[in-house]
Order: sequence, then structure tokens, then C-alpha cells
Amino acid sequence: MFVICGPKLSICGFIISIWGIIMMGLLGVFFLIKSPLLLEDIPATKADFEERAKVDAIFQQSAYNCWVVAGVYVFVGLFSYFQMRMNSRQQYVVT
Amino acid sequence: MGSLFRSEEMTLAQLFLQSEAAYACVSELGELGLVQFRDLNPDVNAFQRKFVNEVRRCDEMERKLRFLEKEIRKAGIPIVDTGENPDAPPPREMIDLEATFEKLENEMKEVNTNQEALKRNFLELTELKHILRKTQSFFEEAEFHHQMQDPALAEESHALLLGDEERGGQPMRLGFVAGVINRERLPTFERMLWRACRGNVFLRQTEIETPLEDPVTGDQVHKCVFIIFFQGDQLKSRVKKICEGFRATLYPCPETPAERREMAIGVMTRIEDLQTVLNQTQDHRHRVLVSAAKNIRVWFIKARKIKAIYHTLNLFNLDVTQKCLIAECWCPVADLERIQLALRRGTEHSGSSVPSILNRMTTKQAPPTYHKTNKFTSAFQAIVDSYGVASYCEVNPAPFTIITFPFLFAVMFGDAGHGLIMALFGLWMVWREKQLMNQRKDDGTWAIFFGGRYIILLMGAFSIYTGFIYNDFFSKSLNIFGSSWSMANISDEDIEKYDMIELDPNVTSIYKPRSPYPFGLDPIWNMAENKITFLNSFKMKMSVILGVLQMSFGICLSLSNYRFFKDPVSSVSVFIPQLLFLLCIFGYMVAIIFYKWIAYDASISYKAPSLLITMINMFLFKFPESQDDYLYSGQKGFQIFLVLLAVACVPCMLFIKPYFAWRAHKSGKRTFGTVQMQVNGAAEDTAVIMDQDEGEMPPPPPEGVSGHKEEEEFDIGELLIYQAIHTIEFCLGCISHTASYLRLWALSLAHAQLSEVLWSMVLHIGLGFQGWVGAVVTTLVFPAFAVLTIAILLVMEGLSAFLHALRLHWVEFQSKFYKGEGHQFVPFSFEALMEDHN
Repeated sequence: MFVICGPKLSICGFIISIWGIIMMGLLGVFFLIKSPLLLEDIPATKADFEERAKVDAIFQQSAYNCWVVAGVYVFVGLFSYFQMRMNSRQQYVVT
Repeated sequence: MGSLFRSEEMTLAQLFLQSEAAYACVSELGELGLVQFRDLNPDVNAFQRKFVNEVRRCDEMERKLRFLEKEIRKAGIPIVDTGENPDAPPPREMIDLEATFEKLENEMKEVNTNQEALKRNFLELTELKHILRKTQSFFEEAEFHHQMQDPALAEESHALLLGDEERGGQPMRLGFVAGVINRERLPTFERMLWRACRGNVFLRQTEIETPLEDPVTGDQVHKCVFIIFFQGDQLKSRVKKICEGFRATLYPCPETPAERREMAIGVMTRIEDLQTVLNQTQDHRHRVLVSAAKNIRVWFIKARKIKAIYHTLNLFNLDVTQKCLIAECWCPVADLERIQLALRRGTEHSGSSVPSILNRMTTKQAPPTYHKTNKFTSAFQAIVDSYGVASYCEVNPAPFTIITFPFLFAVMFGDAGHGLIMALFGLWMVWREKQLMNQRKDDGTWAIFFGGRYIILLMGAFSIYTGFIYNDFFSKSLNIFGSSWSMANISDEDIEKYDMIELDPNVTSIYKPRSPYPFGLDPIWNMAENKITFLNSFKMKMSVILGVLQMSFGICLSLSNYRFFKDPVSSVSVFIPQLLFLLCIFGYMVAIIFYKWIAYDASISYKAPSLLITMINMFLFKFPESQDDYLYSGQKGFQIFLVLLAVACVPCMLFIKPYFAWRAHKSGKRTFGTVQMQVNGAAEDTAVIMDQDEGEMPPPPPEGVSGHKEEEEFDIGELLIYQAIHTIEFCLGCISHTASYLRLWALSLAHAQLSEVLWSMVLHIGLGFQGWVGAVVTTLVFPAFAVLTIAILLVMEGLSAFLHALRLHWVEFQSKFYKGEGHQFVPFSFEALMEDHN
């Protein structure tokens, strides 16, 4: 396969992906349990706060969003890891 | 492993080495790396020293090796570093090494010259080949033009000069030259020809497609083939001169096509032969270099070691009998056994029968400071030494710095998420230590980070701890244990009506008394509007408490110094007043901080007097009227007592010590020891122990009691001034340093705010979109958040907190007890030498 990213970019991508997976995963869990500290971070208008159920739904949606992001980063992480392997293999071949 | 608390006890030793054994002994000592030699011939020129010839030979060897290394690198052959550490070879082997290097150098030079000559030859042949090929078409054109122009020529130029019989189309013989010129020079060349020959020459040119290799520089140059037709000898010489000027190479080109064809064939064969020869030369050169590349590291190490040994031997003195060398060196007392063993090994290696002798000497010079560190403590020792190397046998702040430095850093950094990233980074560097050290990246920034890997690991770990205390994870709090505050009993209409609700901790339903959040800050503060007001008070008080604690500890360490150096006067007249002064004022402040935290709860907090005002009033002797404004009963009397005690300490600091010194001077105490040399007749190479105090070195002259040098130098005025400066510095320093510790609060506030800003301005964008769009935007926003976190919060804030924690240590902590006027122990060690070169 081809080497698309250089060695530094692939390592950066890998680290950010790991961080993203863990952080977004946890953030999703916190959205799901409706942590009040994340109240300002949900996309809810003042009108939405009238109904309890609506706010709950928004929390849940945010949780799913975070998990989707975590999922995307799983793929990005795998891709970066793959690129890292390709790069290190190329180093052996060229010399 | 020696103790890190004080520097190692050092002794000045004299070595008697037999001339034959000297080289081997120094080699062994270099491998050991525990002695620092003194230069016994400081006023001797470098060119007049004993072993200057050997050093010169070593320099020559190194030069040859460098030449070889350059050639190897040019050929692109990898130099393999086996990590082998050969011993310094004996002097007789040096001749062998020199011969080998000479042979290699000559061979390389010869091969290089040959190759150059061959390449030049090759270039000429190639150019000739191109000329022969291209000029075919020129000649045909020239014939045609010649036929065309002939009548015109005949009419113009020969009408007058020649007779009638010359007319009538006798074909004029055109001369020509053919050659090759650089493509860039061609236009100018043409113009010059035109001008100089007044248009009577005819130039044809065409380009050579493939670039040719210049034999000297190895560059590829583009050249053109040209051919110039002219008539007459004058023009010929003119053309030749111009060609010379433009550095065009001319080649003899035969006129008839048949000859040209023959020549072309000849040239082709010659080119093929030359190519074979060139390839073989290249192969030979490559082989020579490959075989050299295998050994070049080892040779370098050997050459450098020999040179180092001869440099060191140059520092020695030759004794009267011309049979042995005398050396003076500093060495740690604890390692004398190992040095003896090394000397014995050296003597055995050299085959000499006379053993080497090591004597201890006493001296009044300050010995160098030597701390025995391992890879963990060396980083902390380095940051202490950056400020100043500890004076001999002074208390070393490094072991305390191992804990206090990361702790103060963490107080200023205070975010568990960032701390986790930092700790993981440090952990990775520590885990991959060996690999990363072997990779040996030459980048300076990386080297700094890698050198401080243990510091980074500790800083990260402590930051996780303080992150839990401040309850800060990327600026959000975690509710682990359940908040002690509750909104359960606030009525719904209140919530609807008001934008902001004040929670009164006095109401039991809101705040459960006697059950605060078990560890760290209650997470509800993250949502509170008055979070910063509350935290300010808390963090400021905490900073001052930490500051006073660290400064008191520093003063106590100074007592340790006074006791070690047997300076009872200072212990009483400096330590006690200093400690009392600090504790009476700022220790008292810390005490009432704690008291106020404990004694006042939410119900009576509105009545609590301000601590700052209390402290100010304490000094103005202003006391409030109503009983409520007192913290505790008996406060008035106690405070007056403390102030008077603190004030009384000041004249003690100013006058007691000079008074004692003056008294000591009057009673005429003798000076301390002088330089004694003890050379016992013992022929064994055991250290001759001095018969003084069971072989213990007398402690160096105490720094407090002066008047030890000469009697006339004692000056009471100078002493008083010095003491006054010291006292003022201390007293004012107490106040300013205590305030300086408030930077712990300031930086932690800055960090928390930056972290919050980064979340609310970057990640919040992603989370603020409704529906599934949010996921897409967050995917794009998250890397930006990550990069900015690392760049701003970890690198910038990390460096900032590092710097301020360092400053707190260097100035506020160490000024209480640390002199830092020593010089570092730099032993003669091959390991250090090799590291320097790499």
C-alpha cells in the first residue's frame, strides 16, 4: 500500500485519535447520565428548557454525537497506525 | 551510593608513578573516572611540555581519521557503531595505528587522484564523440554555403588583390575548428566572434542533450558542440585565442567523412575501455572505504583516549631523579580503595615492578564539590547546579527539590487532564529510555526534554493529584463522591423567576453540615458564579502557607550547616533570631489562617474579622473596640508580645555575631591548619593515612568566624556592614518572598481560566450544533482543541509554571541557607570525553 502521510503526521494522528477516542467516549457517558456540569454545552435554547423530556432528548443526542466522533476516530487511529507501520517499513527498505 | 544531603568528602592526593607505569595507570584512572588532576605546570607553554610530540602525533592521527570519515560519508557508506568501548592501547601500539592510518590515507589520496584523471580523460573522449557525430551535418551545410557564396566572395575581396586568373570559381579552402563549450557561455561567445572577426567567420552550434560530469567538482554541466569556419591564418589565430578565453575545448577533427567515421569508432572503443577502468577504480575505492568504515569508530575512540592520556601526563611533574612522575589530584575519600585498585592494575599491565604510591595531603584550598547521583537524581541536581554549585560540604537542596519542585509546579498547573498527558509523555520517555538514548537525536530541544524525563514524569503525576484537589479535568469538574450541596428544596417558581439563585449553606436542606465533599473541591463550584471569588481566597491562603513552610524549612537547613561547620556563634546569633522573626510574623499569620478556617462556620462567618486587617493592625498597635472583632481571647496581649519579640530579634542579628568575632580576635586565636605534605616511606601502594583524628579530615575552616587569614585583615567595620546588609536583606526578604509565593495562586488561576476559555471557545462550537451535524463538526473541531491544548496549556503554561517553580526554589528557598560558591568536580573520565565528542 502507499504511504500517504509522513512519519510525523501519522504519529500525531495516532496520538490524537487515541486521545479522541478516550475523551469523546467518556464525554458521551457523561452526557448520557445528564451531568449538570455539561448543561452549558448542550445545543438547547431557553425555550427548550421548559420541558424536561426535551432536554433529556438533547442530552441523549449529544451523547450519541460524542460516540459517533469516537467511532470516527477509531478509524482515523487505525489508518494512522497503518501509516506508521508503512513508514517504518519504508525506512528499512530504502537503506 | 553516597548521600545526596551533603557533597562527598574530598581529599587532595599525591600520586607517585613510575615513568613506565604512568601511561597505564592514567589509562586505568581514565576508565574509572574518579580523579580530577591539577595542572602542576601552569606556566609552561603548551609547546614546551614533556609529551608534546606524542600529542602532536595523536592530532595527526585524528586528522587522518577525520579525512577518512569524510570520504566514507561522501561515498554514503553507513558507519556502524557497535557501542564497543576499547581500552586505550599501549604506546607501542600507537605506532601500528599510525602506520595503518598513513597507509589508508595515502591509498585514498592516490585513488582519488587517479579517478580524477580518468574522469577527465573520459570527459574529453565523450566530447570528441559528440563532436564527431554532430559535425557531419555542419560540413554538408558548409559545402553548400561555400558554393553559394563563392562568386560573391570572389568578386568583393579578390577583385582588387588578385589577378584575373584567380577569378572563375576556384574553390576556396575554408579552415575550421571544432570544439565544445558551456551552454551558458555560448551567446557571448558568438557575439565576441562576430565582433572580433568582423563577421568573417561562420559558427554553427548544436546542443549536447545529456549533461556531462565535471571531473573536479562532480557537477553535471550542459555543453554545446560548435564548429567555426574561417579563411586565412590570421582569423584562425584570432578564433583560437577567443576560444581559449571562453574556456572552450578544441578538438582535432578530420576533414573527410571517412576519416571521421574511423575516428568515431576508435573513440567508442576507447570510451568503453575507460568506462571499465573507471568502474573498477570505483569498486576498489568502495571496498577500501567499507573496510575502513568497520573500524573507524573504534579507531576514533582509541585515538582520543591516547590523546587524553598524554594531555593528562603533561600536567604531571617530573621528579628530581627523573624516574617517576608526580601528580596531584582531587578524589573522593570514599573511593580511595577503588583508585588504589586501578593503580595496581595499571602497574601490573605495564609490567613494572615498582608500585605506585598515593598520599593524602592537607590543604586550605576549597575542594571541588562532588555529588554522587544516579540517572533519576542527576536531573534535579542539574537544576540546582544551574543556580550555583554547592560550596564544599554544604547542605544540598537537591534531595528536597525532588519533591518540592514538582509539587509547586503542580500547584500552579493544577489540571488532572493535562497532568495525565504530561505524565504519560514522561512515562513513555522513561520506558523507552535505552532506545531513545541510542537514537541520539541531535536536536537540542528534544535533548532538553529527554534529559528531564523524570522531572516531567513527576510533574505530571503531582499535577494529577492537584487536579483532583482543584477538581479540574480539562476545566470540567468530576462529581465522584456526590456533591454536598443540593437544590432539592428550592421551589420551582423561584427557579423560573430568577436567573441566579443564591444557595445559603446555613440552610440544612441546601448544604449538609458536617459532611463536606470528601476529597478536593465540591463540583458545584464549577457552576457557581462566585467560583473565582471563593477560589481566590482559598488559593491565596494556601500559597502563603506553603511559602512560609518552605522558608522555615530553609532556615532550619541553615542550622544544619552551622552545626556541621562547627559554628556555634551563628547557630545562636543568626539562626534563632531569623527563625523567630519569620515565625512571629508570618508563622503567626499562617496560624490565624488555620484558626479562622476552623473556628468560623457558615452561621457566624459574616462576623469574621479580615486577616489582612488584623495583621496590619498588629503592627500599628491598633486594636478594635468590640469583642466580636477579635479572633480569640487574649489576642491583644499575644500580638503585642509577638511584635516585640520580632523587633527584638533584629539587633540580635545585627550585633551578636560581630561582637563575638571581635572578642575572638582580641583573645588572639591561632589560625587554622597549613598545607602539610606527608610522604611516608612505605613502599606499598596503600594510602598513607595521616595520623590526625583517626584519619578523618578536619572540617574546612568555619565560614562564620573570620580573622583566620592574617591578623591585620580583621576589620570590625566591614563585619558590621556585612552583617547589616545580611539582616536587612533577610527581614525585607521575609515580606517580599512571602508575597512572592502568591504567584502560586496567580498561575493556577491563569491556567484554569485558559483551560476554560479553550473549552468554551473551541470544543463548545462542536457540541453546540443540533442533531447529527454536531458529530461532524466535533470531529473537525477536536483536533484543533487537542493541538491548542498541547501548544498553549501544556507547552506554554508548563514552561511558565516550570520557570516560576524554579524561581521560587532558587530565590525564596535557597536564599535562606544556600551559598552556592563551590566549583564542580570534573573528573578525568573517558566516558565524559566520548560524550562531549558526540
